[in-house]
Amino acid sequence: MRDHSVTHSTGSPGREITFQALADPTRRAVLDLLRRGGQPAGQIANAFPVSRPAISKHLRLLRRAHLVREHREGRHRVYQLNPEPLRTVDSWIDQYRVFWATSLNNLKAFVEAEHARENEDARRHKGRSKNAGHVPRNI
Amino acid sequence: MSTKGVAPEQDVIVSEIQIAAPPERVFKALTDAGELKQWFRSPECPVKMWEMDARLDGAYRYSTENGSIIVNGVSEFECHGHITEFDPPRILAYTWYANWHDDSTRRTVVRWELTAQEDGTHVKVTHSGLSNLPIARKDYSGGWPGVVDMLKRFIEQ
Repeated sequence: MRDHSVTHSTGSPGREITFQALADPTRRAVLDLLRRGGQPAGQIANAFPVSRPAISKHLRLLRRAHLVREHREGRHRVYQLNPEPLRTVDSWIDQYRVFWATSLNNLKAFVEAEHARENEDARRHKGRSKNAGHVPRNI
Repeated sequence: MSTKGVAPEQDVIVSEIQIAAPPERVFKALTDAGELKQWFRSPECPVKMWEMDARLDGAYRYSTENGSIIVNGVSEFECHGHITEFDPPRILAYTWYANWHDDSTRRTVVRWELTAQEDGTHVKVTHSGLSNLPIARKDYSGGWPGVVDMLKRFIEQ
């Protein structure tokens, strides 16, 4: 059996190319399909109500984004999922999720700063003479 | 193990943190609208309004301007509810109805538990009632399907 990878073209794919590849519903559906395992191009094409050339183009874009790998098994081109580039997407997404973790971090930063400032104010106030008057506190 | 029904971990999100200030100070930040405005926000979504009637059965409301985040098709976030537990400076719980949930009429509950410690406060927040809100739940806790949905909307808009 011949098995030569033709997946990795030159140049490193940036985030953009990954996002671009994921932006299309058919390409995402292809990825979902490949989660169940590698499949020949023909079988992938049969799973979608679009033309073969259209699927070929989608597979080409996915390959360019390194989201799938292609190898030959006899007469077939077999495609396999390569989830690695999703990591960069995942880390980008990270900043938009963990709603409560973010909220807690904000709460901590705010309360600790306020608490430190209030303590400082109290200390300063105490340090002054009795007749020094009221130290205005900002919010 | 049964695969039917909702696993507890699918209904609840728990998040915890240590804060170097006494529970009273933390409780104030959780219940004072002026303070909530300052920390309960994200740079992507400027706060439009934060109101809280800090007492048992008191109402609160939180809303943002149009932000750069989209969840369930929503980018102007609004959330409201009533206080169901009020025990300063230890417990604060309120219902949480959010317009960015899959179903904005579904009751979810946010509960804050403050525990005094030698060097400050242990804060635990529990968000429950999320079992039927898969996209919202993923957004709160992180996870792939909800995030993909968000990414999809973000890119395709």
